Amino acid sequence: MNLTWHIFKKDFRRLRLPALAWLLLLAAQVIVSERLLSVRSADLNWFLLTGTLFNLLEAVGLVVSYILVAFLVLDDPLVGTEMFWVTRPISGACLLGAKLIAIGLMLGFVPVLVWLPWWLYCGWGWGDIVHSTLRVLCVQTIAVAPALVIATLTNQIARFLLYSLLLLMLAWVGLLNLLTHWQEFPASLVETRLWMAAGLFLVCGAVVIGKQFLTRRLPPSVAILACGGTLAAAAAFWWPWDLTRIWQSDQKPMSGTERVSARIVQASFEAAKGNLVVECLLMGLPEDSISASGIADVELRWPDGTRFRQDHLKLSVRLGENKSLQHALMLQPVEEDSETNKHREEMAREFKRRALEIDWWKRRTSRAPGTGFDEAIVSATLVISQPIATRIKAEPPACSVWARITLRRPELLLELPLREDVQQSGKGMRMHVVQLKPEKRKPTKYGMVGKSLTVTVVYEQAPDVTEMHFFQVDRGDGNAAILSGSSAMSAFPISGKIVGAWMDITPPQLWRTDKWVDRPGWLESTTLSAVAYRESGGFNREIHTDRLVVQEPETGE
Amino acid sequence: MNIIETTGLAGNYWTTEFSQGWRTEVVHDVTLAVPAGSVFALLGANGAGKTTTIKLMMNLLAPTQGEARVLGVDSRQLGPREYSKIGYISENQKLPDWMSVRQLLDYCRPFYPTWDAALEKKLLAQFDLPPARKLKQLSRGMRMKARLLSSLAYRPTLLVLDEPFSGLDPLVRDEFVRGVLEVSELGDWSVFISSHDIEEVERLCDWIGVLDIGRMQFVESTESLLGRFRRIEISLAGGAARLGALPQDWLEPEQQGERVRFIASRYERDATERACCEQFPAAAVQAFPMTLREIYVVLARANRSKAKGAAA
Repeated sequence: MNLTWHIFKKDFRRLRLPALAWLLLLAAQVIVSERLLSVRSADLNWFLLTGTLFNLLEAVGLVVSYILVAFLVLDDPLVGTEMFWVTRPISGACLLGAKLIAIGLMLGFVPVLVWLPWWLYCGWGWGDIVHSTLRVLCVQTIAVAPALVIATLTNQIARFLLYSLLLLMLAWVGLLNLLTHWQEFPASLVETRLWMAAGLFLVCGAVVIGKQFLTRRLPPSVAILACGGTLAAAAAFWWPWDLTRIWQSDQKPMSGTERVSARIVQASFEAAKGNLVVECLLMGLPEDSISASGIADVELRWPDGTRFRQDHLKLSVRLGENKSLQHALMLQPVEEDSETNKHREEMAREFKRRALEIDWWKRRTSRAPGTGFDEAIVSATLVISQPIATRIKAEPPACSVWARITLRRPELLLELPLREDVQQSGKGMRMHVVQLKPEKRKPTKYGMVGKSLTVTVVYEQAPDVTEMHFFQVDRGDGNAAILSGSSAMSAFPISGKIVGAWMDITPPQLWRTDKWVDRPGWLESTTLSAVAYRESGGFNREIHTDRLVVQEPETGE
Repeated sequence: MNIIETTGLAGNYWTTEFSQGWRTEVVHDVTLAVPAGSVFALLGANGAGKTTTIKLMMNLLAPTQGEARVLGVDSRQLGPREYSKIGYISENQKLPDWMSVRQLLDYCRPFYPTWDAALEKKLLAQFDLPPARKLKQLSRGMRMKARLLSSLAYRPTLLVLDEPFSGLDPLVRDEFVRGVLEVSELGDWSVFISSHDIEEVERLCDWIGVLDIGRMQFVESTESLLGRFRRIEISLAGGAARLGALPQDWLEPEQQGERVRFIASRYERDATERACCEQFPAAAVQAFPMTLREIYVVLARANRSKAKGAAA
């Protein structure tokens, strides 16, 4: 171990200047992150430029990591007969250990150490920090692993770069080919194939690295790599078995989901591709959660025993109006203004008379038409061939769906008053309201046309906050409306993301003496709330129908 | 006990030439033995296969046939334990040029339990190496001396020198050889040296092996080799005589008037003089000792003409 450490110290002395440059690059990323979260981001052009600079710094960082690994390994090359170390009492294992320590410390530990103060400043919890650390390590491994493999098979940096370019081109061509045929196979099978290919490449790379350090025999190592690469390519294109069920096991039922019932409500062919979409209605969902995603196995059966089955289909979800947000934000509905309500009812009657339909509540979360507050529609899309489609139309089959539904629960991360230059950290997020810009509005008979305020927010978000929305929460009238960003640009730190969002705020309006007015004091009682939808559990359901009648696609005529 | 032994050793290089089957064999059937405590010189012209033979012995290349045993261990199994007793110096070996001489020594020291700090200090002064200067800033000779210093300071049991003199000026050569000689006197070291610089080697070696086009021509002690080669000059008393069929071990015979010259490759005073008298009665025979360089040149010529004859 002492000798390993001794070699590491030599490597560190050798690469101290590139390592310093790498450290400065990381520090620059943190500084740019800080600037991105400042009030200067109110200027869209500045934010775009700085965000681009940040992404550029990060890309350069990955390239620098890649090159650093090459320099590190090629300082004691494993190919050739003229290396200094090879006739010294240095074992291959000792050398490998020293190189791995150097890579681990320089390209794994140092980035985490540099980012840690920033993560703490952004209010991330330990869970977020561990998650981000793993993410940084994972991305660095992806950058470093191919470099390590190639560097063990070369003895010159020029050759290393040439082989890297060739590998990049091969990977690119392979990925393009794969993407071309992506749609022909279920997503879960494609996912399995990609994992298998990546796994084979990693295993084979590890074998090559070990073998080169321990034996330094180039031809067998190249042969192993070639075999591994061929196997990985074969797995990426032709692996037949879907293994995603191994790691996507059945959901453990979440309490409160026992009463959820489900039925198949509709089936249709997609107009463009002719795929079969099967829709199921879920009823009795828990009030504090939404069903956000799911996976299903679908089987069609005909009386003659013919079966058609596809597994691990991703479910898309449309929600009914749901009270989970009210639970999360602890909103107490306040009785609405009678004069305004009366006017709205009059307006509604007038619109009905004129055969117009206006949804007064469209500011609220969008919902699937016809679904209640505890309902959701989930749909699975089956890739089918023309003969199967013809048979489904001619002879409606029985259909079974085994659905594994994931539920998410909204959680309030941060709630800031609508004032300029306020910022807050906590629960995996740092948010800064950098600008409130009043906009022009025009009063009409039906209300004020145009927006009242544009709020500019910049925020850094931890990676495990996978789904997050902003809400305009009016604590005065107990309403919450989802805000859509008119434009949002992101910089992508490996460990999270920095987003600039420009959102429109619409004040609540009251009808007073023949005109619409903003509710007095609305700005003081309105907050900007960031709500994350975190996975809270799930449940499994088997749904059957004896006759799946398929609707014809709409032709648009 | 032999410190190095090779039996039927053969090795090849990978090439980019398909016509050569991607590989070209440069060493064939090399058998030699280096006794412990001796200085063995492997001589041969450029491209004879000296460096490849050393690389095969040092586990830098894998033999395709035969085997080499170094310090009693199969060369393919040489590991840190054996390398801690071997000093390998080659002009081709890439030094960590970014290090200074001091850093090189500091780096090497912990790998060798037998590192002798006093010897290091002595050699550093003797070789006149600037400790603070980076290796890349040193001249070729200085770099060679730095290699030697980093390989002598731990008193290796076996010192392997691959073409150590090429490109060195006479002064540096002398310092180099003196360094090796002085240090080898300090202990029971064995030295294996490959070179085509025969004068320098002659000062050092006890044993000689001659390699030609990848094949070992002979291995012999220097004493025996120098003893059995003589330049013979015969003065014919009765005027010029026609050279008849001469014994095969009389090489490069030539006649100039009343003088006949040849190289006796199996010289024994009485037997050679007797044979001369039988060939040239009443002639005066004079035998002159030869240098190693002269012997090498004679042997090389003889091998070449033999090879030409075989090819014809």
